[in-house]
Amino acid sequence: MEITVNGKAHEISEPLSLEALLRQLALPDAAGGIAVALNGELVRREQWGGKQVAPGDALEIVQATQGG
Amino acid sequence: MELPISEATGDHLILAGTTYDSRLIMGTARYPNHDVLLKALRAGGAQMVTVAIRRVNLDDPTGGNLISLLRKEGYQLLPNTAGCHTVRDALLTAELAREALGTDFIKLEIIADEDTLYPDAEKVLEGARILVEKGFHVMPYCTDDPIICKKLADLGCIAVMPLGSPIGSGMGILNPYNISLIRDLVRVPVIVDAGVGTASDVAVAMELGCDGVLLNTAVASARDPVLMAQAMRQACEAGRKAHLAGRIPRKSYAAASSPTEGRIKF
Repeated sequence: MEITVNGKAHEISEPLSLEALLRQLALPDAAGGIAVALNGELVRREQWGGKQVAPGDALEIVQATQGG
Repeated sequence: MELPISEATGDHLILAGTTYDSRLIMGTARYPNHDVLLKALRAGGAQMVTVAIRRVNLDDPTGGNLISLLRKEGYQLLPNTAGCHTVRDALLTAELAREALGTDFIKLEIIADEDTLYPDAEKVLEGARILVEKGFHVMPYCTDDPIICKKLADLGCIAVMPLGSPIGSGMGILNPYNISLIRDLVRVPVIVDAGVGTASDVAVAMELGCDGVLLNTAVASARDPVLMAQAMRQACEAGRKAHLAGRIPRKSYAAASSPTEGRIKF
């Protein structure tokens, strides 16, 4: 199953929750500092566990960085 | 030691009910390294610093380290929507920023054109209206058009941030008359954002009555960013003091300063 994460194709072996995907991606700070949009809509932190990722989904995983 | 202006006079910047001693908001981009960035922020005395929202690098997701460091040092983070060209993108970026950082503050930027990086006033108005409705503390980067600024303030923005000149251009304040008009017309804080090249530009903004200045490149890309940050802080305080003190009116002809009475007759 293919999904898109931050503009790049990403293979997942089975349907999974957003929370599980973030764990799989080994994001060190899954508890804070990042935010996720699924197909152009914000998914709040408290919904990560219940949100299923489906083939063809596009995810944006972002964080704050240096800016002006 | 001389007290900072805010302690000496009780003169503060207030944004959405929060009081700030510093009237300088500093960007965190384009610094040679993190050490210089942190030293420059300290030298500039900023309490609020801007950050951008970008994709996590999944191969090396350590980009958040600096943000934790900034927070640990006590800076309030002001996320921006830099790089957005549409209302939709700006709204999603603002929502992501609120989620990632847990702040309602947002510097709303919707850019019309890559060469000038000029704000798209029409879209900024639309985006600001929606974000205000969603409970954000909106600080829009906008054109130095007094009517646009008044509209943004009227629809509930907590400050307006007209440009002095294009982002990163270092041309200073190209239209001081407009900035004065904006200060007269608008009841929320006016913060000049973009265009500062050197300390005197900050002083001019403050002398015009602005409530603050947001700058980045002029410090980050200076030969000595830490020294320049210090200069910016002093210019900000000097300009504010001059504004409060009240400048004399400009005249076309001279007016002698020494008394004319009792002059020696040769």
